[in-house]
Amino acid sequence: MSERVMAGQNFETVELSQLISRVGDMKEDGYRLGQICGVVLDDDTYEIIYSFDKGHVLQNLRLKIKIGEEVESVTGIYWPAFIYENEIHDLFGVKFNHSALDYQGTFFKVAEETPWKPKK
Amino acid sequence: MGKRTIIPFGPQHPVLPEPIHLDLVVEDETVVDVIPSIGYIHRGLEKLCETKDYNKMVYVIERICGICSFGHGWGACASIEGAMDVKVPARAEYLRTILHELSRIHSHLLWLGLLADAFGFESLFNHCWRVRETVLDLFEKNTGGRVIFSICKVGGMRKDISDENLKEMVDVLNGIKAEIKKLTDVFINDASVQNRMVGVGVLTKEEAEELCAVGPVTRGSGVYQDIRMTDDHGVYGELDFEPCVEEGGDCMARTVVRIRELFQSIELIEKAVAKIPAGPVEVKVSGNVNGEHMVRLEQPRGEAFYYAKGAGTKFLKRMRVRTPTNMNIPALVQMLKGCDLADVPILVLTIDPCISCTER
Amino acid sequence: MGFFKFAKTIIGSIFKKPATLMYPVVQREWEERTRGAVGIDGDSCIGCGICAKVCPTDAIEVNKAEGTWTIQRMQCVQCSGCVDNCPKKCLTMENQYTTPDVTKTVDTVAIPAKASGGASASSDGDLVCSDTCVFCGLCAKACPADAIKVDRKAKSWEVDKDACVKCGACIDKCPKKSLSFGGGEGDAGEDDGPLSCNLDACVYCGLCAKNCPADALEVDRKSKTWKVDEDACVKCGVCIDKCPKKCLGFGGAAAPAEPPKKSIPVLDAEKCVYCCACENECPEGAISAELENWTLDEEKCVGCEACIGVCPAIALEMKTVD
Repeated sequence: MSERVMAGQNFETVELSQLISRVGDMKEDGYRLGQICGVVLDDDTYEIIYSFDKGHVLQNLRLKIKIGEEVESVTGIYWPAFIYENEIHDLFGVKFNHSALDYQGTFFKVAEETPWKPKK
Repeated sequence: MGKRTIIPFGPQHPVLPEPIHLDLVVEDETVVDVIPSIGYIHRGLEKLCETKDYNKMVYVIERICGICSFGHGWGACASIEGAMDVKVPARAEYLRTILHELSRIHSHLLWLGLLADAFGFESLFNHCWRVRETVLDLFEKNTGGRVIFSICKVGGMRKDISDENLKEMVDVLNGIKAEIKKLTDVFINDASVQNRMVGVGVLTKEEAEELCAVGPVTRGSGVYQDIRMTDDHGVYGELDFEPCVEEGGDCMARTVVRIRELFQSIELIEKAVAKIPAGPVEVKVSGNVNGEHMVRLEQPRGEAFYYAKGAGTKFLKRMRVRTPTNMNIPALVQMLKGCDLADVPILVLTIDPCISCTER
Repeated sequence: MGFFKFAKTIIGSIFKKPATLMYPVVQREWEERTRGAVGIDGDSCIGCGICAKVCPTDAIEVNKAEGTWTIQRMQCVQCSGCVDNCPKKCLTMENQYTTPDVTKTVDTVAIPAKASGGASASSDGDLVCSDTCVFCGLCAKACPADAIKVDRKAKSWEVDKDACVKCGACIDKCPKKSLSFGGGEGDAGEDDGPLSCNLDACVYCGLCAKNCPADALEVDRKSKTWKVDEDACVKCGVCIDKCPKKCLGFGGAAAPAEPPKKSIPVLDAEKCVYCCACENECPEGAISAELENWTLDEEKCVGCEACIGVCPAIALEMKTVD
C-alpha cells in the first residue's frame, strides 16, 4: 500500500496571530493532530509545539508566547485538542480562549495550581 | 424519549485497571453523552526528568507504565540520541526491535485477558495470562526484569543478548503459538463472545480520522496508520513490515487487529533474529544534550511521542511523552455515544486504556 | 461461529498440573540476570560514592567518615546502575528479591572508614598533580565524577576537591604518572627530546595521529609524510604505545627498528560474519569483505592491525610474511 517514509524533524515557527489559520490549513490538507506540548523556554516565554501527521510524515508548528498571553483554542478545528489544551492550562497556566470543552482547571487534580509555571 | 440521568462511572470500577472517570448521560439504558475526566494519578514524571541527569532519567521514563515500559525507555533514549546526533549500532537497534515486539506480545495477551474478564469469561482470562507468563519469563532471562527491563540506555543497550538466547526465544514463541491460536480462536469464533462484541461501539473510518485516533483503535476502523512504517526507529524496514488493518470498526475488529498483531510480532521477532548482525551493542556517549528531537514509536496501544530538548547541561530542559491513550480518549467518547450502558466496560477496554501513561 | 469453543481447553486443564508454583514451599528458580537486590562486599568498598551519584532514586547514601554504606531497600528500583558503575566492582546484583515487609527497610553495611585505596592510590590526602604534568587531559576524561578540569592551552590543572571521590581512576590512566593522593611525587618522565619517528620503519598507518590526545600529529599516507607539532605535543607517549611498528620514540632515539618484516591479517573464514567492519576500518582500502568472499590486497596492506581491533568475531590474526 503506502511507502515507508523517513521521518525528519520538521519544525516551522508560527506567530500567535496566524495560529488558527495555519492550523486550519493543516486540517484542510488532511493532517491529523498528533499532540500539543508546552515547553518552558525561560522565565517569561513558553513554547507550544503543535504536531501534525499525514501519511506518517510529521510536521510541527512552533508557537512562542510570553507568559500571561492568551492563546486561541484549536478545539474548533481539531476537537481532540481539548485534552492537551486543558493539560497545558492546568500545568503551565496558559489560558486558551473559546475552547470547545473547557474543564476550567479541573482536568488534572494537582496539589498546587499551575505547578510547572516558572516561579519568579 | 426517557428521562436523562447522569451515571458516574469510575474512577474505581471493577473493570478498570486504572482510574478514569466518565460521566455517562443516559436515556433509559442508552448512553447519549459522555464527559471523560482524568487526572487522578498525575505524578509529574516529565517534571522529575528535568531534575535528573539524562542518563538516570531513562529509568524514570521507563516507569511511566508497567506494560509498555520498554517502548518508553526506547523512546526516551532515541529522542536524546537524536538530539545528540548519536548513531546506535545495528545490533542494538535489532535488539531494541526484538524486545519491543516481545513487549507487544506481552501487552496484547494481557489485554486479551482483561477483555475476557470484562465480559465475564474468567477462565479465558486466566489462560491468557498463563501464556503471557511464558513471555515474562523470556524477559526475565534476557533482561533481568519481568516488566521493567532497564536494558536500554542512551547510546545503545546495557547488555547484549547472546545468539543462543535469541534462538531460544524464537523457539519458545513458536511453542506458544499453538496455545495462543487456541485462545484467540475463542475470541473470534465463540458465539457468546461475538454477541458482546460484533457491531458494538462502531467507530467509522471518517470518525477515526476526524478524532485523530491511533494504534489498533484506528487500524480496526480501516485507517492505514502505523508508526512502524517510518524509518526513524527500529529495523522494521528490513523485516517486510505491513500493518494489520481491519475494516469493521467495532469491538471485534479492534480485537482481531490485536490478535493478528500477536502473530505478526512473533514473525517479526523470528525474522529479526535471523538477520541480526554481530557487533557492539553500545556507543560511548559523552557530553550534554544540546538541541531538540522528536521521535515517534508504535507502542502496543498506538503511536507515542517522545520529545527531548536540552540546553547544554546535564539536565534536560523538557522531556515530553505523549502516550497513545491520550489520543484515543476522544475516540472512546465517540464510541460510547449511543451504546448500551452494559457495553460501557467493554468499550472502555477496547481502546486498551493506560491512564498512568496518559497522565505520567 | 459456535458454542463451547473453550470447553476442550478447560476440560484438558482439569487433568494438568497447575501452572503456578506451590509458593513458598517450592521456591522459584531465578535466572542469572534477574535483578533482585543490590548486595555489597563492604571490605573492598572505598567509599567513593559513585553509586550514590548514579542512583536515579537517591536510595544509596555513602558516609565515608563514619564508614557506612546505606541503602533504602524500598526506594531502590533495581536498575543496577550502581553495580555497573562501581569502579571497585564491590557491588553485585543478587537474584533474590528483598522479602516483603510492613516497614520501609533500610540496610546499612560497614565499609572501611578510611579507604584503603586502589592499586596506585593511597588516598589519605587530596588528589594532587606534580609538575611532570603534560596537560593531556586523560585524567579528566577518566574521572567518573567530572571533578578534574584540564586546559592544555592555559596549562592549567584543577581538581574540584568536593566532587573528587578519590577512586583512583585518573591515577591509573595518567601516562606520566604525575597524579597521586596527598602530595606524593610522581616519577619524572625520562624522555626529554622531541617526538620523532624512524621513517624507514614507518608504514604511515596514522594510528599515532588517531590516538594523540593533543592532535599534534599529522600523517598523510599518500604523500608518505609524518609530522609532529612540537608545541602541541604533550609527550604523553600514547602514540608510542599504539604504534604497530614501534618506530616512534622521544629525543630522536627512536628504537632502531628491525628490518621491517611485513605482517598481514589472515582470515579464519569459519569465524567471519562478513560484517565488513574490517573493510570500513582499513585505512588503505586493502580489504574487500563481500559475502563469503574476503580478500586482502597485500600490496596495499601496511600491517597497521587496525582491522584486528575492530573485528567483532575475532576472525582476523596477524601473520608474518617474508
